Amino acid sequence: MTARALTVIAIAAFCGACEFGETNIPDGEPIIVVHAIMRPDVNQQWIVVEQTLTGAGADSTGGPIPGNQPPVPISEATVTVTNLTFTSDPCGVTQFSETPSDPDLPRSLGLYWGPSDCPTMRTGDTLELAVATLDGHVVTGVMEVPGANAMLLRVEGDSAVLPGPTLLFNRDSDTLDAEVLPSAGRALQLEVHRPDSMGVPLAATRLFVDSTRMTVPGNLTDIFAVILGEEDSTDADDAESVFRAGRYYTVTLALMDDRYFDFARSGNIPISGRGFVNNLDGGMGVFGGIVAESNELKVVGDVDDAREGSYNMQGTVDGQAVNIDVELYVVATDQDTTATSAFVTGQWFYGDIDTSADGLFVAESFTLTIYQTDPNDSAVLSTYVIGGSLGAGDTFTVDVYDRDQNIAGQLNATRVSPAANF
Amino acid sequence: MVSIPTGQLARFRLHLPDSQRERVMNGQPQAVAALALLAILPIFGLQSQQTRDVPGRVLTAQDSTVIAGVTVRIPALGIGTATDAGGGFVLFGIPRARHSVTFQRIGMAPDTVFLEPDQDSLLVYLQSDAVVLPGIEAQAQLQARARFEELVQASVVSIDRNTIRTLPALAEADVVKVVQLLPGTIATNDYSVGFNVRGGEPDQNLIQMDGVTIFNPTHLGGLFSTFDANAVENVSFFMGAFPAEYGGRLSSVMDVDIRAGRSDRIGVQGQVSLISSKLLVEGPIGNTGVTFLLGGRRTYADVLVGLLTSETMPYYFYDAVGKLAAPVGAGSLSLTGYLGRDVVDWPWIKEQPGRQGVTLDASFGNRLLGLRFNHPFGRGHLTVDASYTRSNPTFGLEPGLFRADNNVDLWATKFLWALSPGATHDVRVGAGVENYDMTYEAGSESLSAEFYRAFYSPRVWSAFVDDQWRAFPWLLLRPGVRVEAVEGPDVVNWAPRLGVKAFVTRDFAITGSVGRYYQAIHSLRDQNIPWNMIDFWIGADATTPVGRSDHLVLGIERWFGLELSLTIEGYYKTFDDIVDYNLDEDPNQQGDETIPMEGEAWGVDFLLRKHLGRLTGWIAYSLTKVDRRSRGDEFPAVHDRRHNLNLILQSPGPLGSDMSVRFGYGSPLPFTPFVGEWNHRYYYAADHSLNDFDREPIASPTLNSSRYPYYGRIDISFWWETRKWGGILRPYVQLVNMLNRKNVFLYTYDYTTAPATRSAVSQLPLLPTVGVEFIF
Repeated sequence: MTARALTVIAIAAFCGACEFGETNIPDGEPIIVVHAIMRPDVNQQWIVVEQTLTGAGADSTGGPIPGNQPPVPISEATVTVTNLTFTSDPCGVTQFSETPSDPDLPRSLGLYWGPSDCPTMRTGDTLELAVATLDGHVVTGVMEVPGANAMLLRVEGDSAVLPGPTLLFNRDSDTLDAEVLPSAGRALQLEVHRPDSMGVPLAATRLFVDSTRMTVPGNLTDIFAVILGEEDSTDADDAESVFRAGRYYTVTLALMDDRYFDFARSGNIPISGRGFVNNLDGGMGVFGGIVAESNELKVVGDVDDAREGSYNMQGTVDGQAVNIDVELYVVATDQDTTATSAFVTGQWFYGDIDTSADGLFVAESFTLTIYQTDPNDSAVLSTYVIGGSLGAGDTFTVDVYDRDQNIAGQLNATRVSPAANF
Repeated sequence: MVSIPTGQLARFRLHLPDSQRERVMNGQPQAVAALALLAILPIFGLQSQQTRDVPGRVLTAQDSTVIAGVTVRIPALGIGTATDAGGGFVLFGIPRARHSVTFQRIGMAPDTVFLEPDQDSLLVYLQSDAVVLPGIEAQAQLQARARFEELVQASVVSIDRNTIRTLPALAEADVVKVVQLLPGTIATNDYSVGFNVRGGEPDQNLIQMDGVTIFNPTHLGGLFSTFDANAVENVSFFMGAFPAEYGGRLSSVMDVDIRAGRSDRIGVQGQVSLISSKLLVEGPIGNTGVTFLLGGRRTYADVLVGLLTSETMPYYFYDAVGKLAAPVGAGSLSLTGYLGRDVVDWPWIKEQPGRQGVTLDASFGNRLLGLRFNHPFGRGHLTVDASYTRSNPTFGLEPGLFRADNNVDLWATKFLWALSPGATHDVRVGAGVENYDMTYEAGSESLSAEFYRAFYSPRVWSAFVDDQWRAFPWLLLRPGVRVEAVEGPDVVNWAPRLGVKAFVTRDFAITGSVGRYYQAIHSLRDQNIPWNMIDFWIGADATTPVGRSDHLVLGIERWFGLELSLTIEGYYKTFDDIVDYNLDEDPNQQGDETIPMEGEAWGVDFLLRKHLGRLTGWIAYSLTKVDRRSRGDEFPAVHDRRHNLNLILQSPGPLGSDMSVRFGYGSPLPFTPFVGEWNHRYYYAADHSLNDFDREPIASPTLNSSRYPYYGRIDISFWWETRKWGGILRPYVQLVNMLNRKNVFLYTYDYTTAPATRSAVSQLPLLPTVGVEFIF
């Protein structure tokens, strides 16, 4: 894989400017693509059936699936999964359908849903996939259901069996140690998400190793956001660290079976069109399995910038009395202009709040955007931006703006720790 | 009664004057034998006097480089010999009296010196015969002609330094690029230093520097080879059916001789080009008889970019070659060293406050050390080699994100004993051992993860016997056998060889060779990637087989005077137990890295070469068909170029220059087209969804089912020579791909549009370069 990566980079660098002679070519040869990742720990399975891009035109909405349509969906296929080990499986041969009985499930062409809790998936069971399209093509594959005895996260001086309590993690000094104790399965996938980004499309970090244990240093730079992905890729100049102090993160550990691991670790090389390890017959893609658990991480950092510290802010916002504690960190210490994040706890517009907020520092002036969901209606979201200037003393005033940038209130802020002359 | 060993007779016969040699060729052995007997008798009669063995060496007066193939004779005694590759010779049993010794060779002014009664060695300088020919051309001619007359070896070509130096090349002369212009040899694209010989794979070529194997002889992903042309004396290239002395590879042997430094004074030469500069210093070390040669080269685009712009160029390469040579009695001892490295140091993600930087840190290169001892023993000649070579590419994302290391270490030693050089039975025996250590490690310190680890350690014991037998005056046979025992797979392989040369006339011979060849190491490469920066080598073991190939070569060689030669050879080769890279390999499992492959190749190679005169060069044409079979499929190899033509012309050019022109044509090469693209989606377990993807092309399952357009290229170079500041300056201008033909390197596809489109990526465009060579 190293040689391939090096070759691709070198060729791209060397030949980037010498393309010529673009010509139209006949349509390619369509191949059925199946993405079927079975989750024994989730009660509703889905399978995506689509066709390769062949030049015949495609209509893609982009975005996550389920929820969006693949560019060339294959509709009206017969999709089944059978548990070959559990011959008396009460689910029998599980039929997947584009029109599930549950109306809340997102529907789209090419997205096939299984009935709830089917097929039966016990650790170690062998499942068989069969996809038959209207034009007579058949794709088959088999997989073995993974299972884990336990999933563990450790940080310095603390640990959790997932799902467990929130772990405190210092990005400047700690290393996250993740381990899965498998009963069946091969490799570990670790995901880092930010759960309180409130719909802001922040790409998650996804790492995998061919073992059941890995570590993640707190200061790891997220190179994967740079090199991976057509939709959410980032320029190298804009790359960020995986962890930022002042944020909550969800860490998900997933144990992969062999088939999913092959799917994740391999891919067709741009200049050869080969390299993907395909375990399906009659088509390409994946029929594999994963079990996963998640845990929350509260990421802090060393307090090494005069602006960092804990603040208490009290006042009113749109007529509501508020009282919050703000634990604030900057990304680039000693830089006038820098991103900042903070934990926000206490009483806010809709009541109790425990979240993290992002913002910006310009010299001593800062802004933070605080989201809060209405506890009575999860579809209702309050968005306020607080802004002020730290000044020289321990107290200062903070203005609150609503989403239309109108003044919504004012807070009296007090530095709690460390002292202002830090 | 006097007994005359047959070896003695044959030894003498080799140095008969041409007129007598012609009679040998024309089938009058009895007359020759009688003449030889008469000539030898006086030698034996003198053996009762006080005698001595007189070693000597012959060098050029111009730059003190050694001259091989000089006929050394004492006419009064009827004793003669010829200088070896190191310019050395020994005259055996010379009475302590004053003798005149003559030295003759085509292209050199003949000379006569006196050997005094108390003199036990000779050091002779010969002037090049400027009226006739430049010496170096004559040397090449002589070697080619001498090989035609004396050696049973089909499919071999020698390229001298001058030819290498003046052929058009990118920025500077390149040994490997010259070899790629010979018949039977195909470079699949301009960026490739790897080459395919008569249907073989690039890893089937044994590339040696003074007998030391070198694994990745490339810089800049193949644009440059590791050999500094100024340090090269000669390149011998065996395109197939090589003799029993050589083994370990299936297709070819490229033997690059590094020259010894000049012995008369310190000399300096070098070159400044747009891309790199190099310097070579050579000379004697005091009066010890020891000479040294030390050359170095470095690219400086990184330095220039840094000085002239605010940007950084994260790449450079350097290399150095050195040789120490010392006479040891009648023999010699030499030490050759090489060190080269390509370095990429790219701050991919710059460090910022709050963000750790990521640096792409890669390097690859070779280092080698070879010790060679040559010495005559009695009528025989012993050569002993001991060497160490290492290739260690490494690639990393630092600090600690990813690191992949590959180390290939080879310790080797061998000896070759020529029992009776030049005799009717010119028997050579030899043996050796090669000990390989190949390790691969990939992992992430940051993630505490190991991605891959593999270790190969084949050890190859070999022995051979090779007899060049002049069975009849018109018929030369060369039977031989080589045995290779490979530890790891624990196999013993016997490789018989047979060469035949039948002279129809003095200038026309029919040649043939047949042999079996084995190879215990392989490189892993995806054939459908047109360009590999480096080779990754693995060794045979319990699961990876030892490759095997059978060669059959039949041809003719015809000389037209001393200037022009024509060689036509047809060949058929089989390839068994060769391997292809298994793209489905499991990184957790050693032994599944390869899948078995086999195949055949046949073709005809045509080489018309003009060795001497105002106009020199060659026309090389190859007709080739190469098939491979793997996993039940049969397909043309990626180097199945049916027609390949290279025309090389070296002649006086305009404005007093020496001109060198290369015209190349290659019929279309196969490739595997793409038939579509797919969205390889990312799965996130946290929300059980597919989010984002990589769009990846899909190659046709039918390998190599399409062909690129034909390849064409014309290069031209002009050299001038002027004497200045006590030395020689040679400015030059070169135009690579002077017609700026866009040869297709690869295609890119876009299947997201309707209709789908395809674009081509070109090989080297028109590249003008200028530079200057200097010699002091």
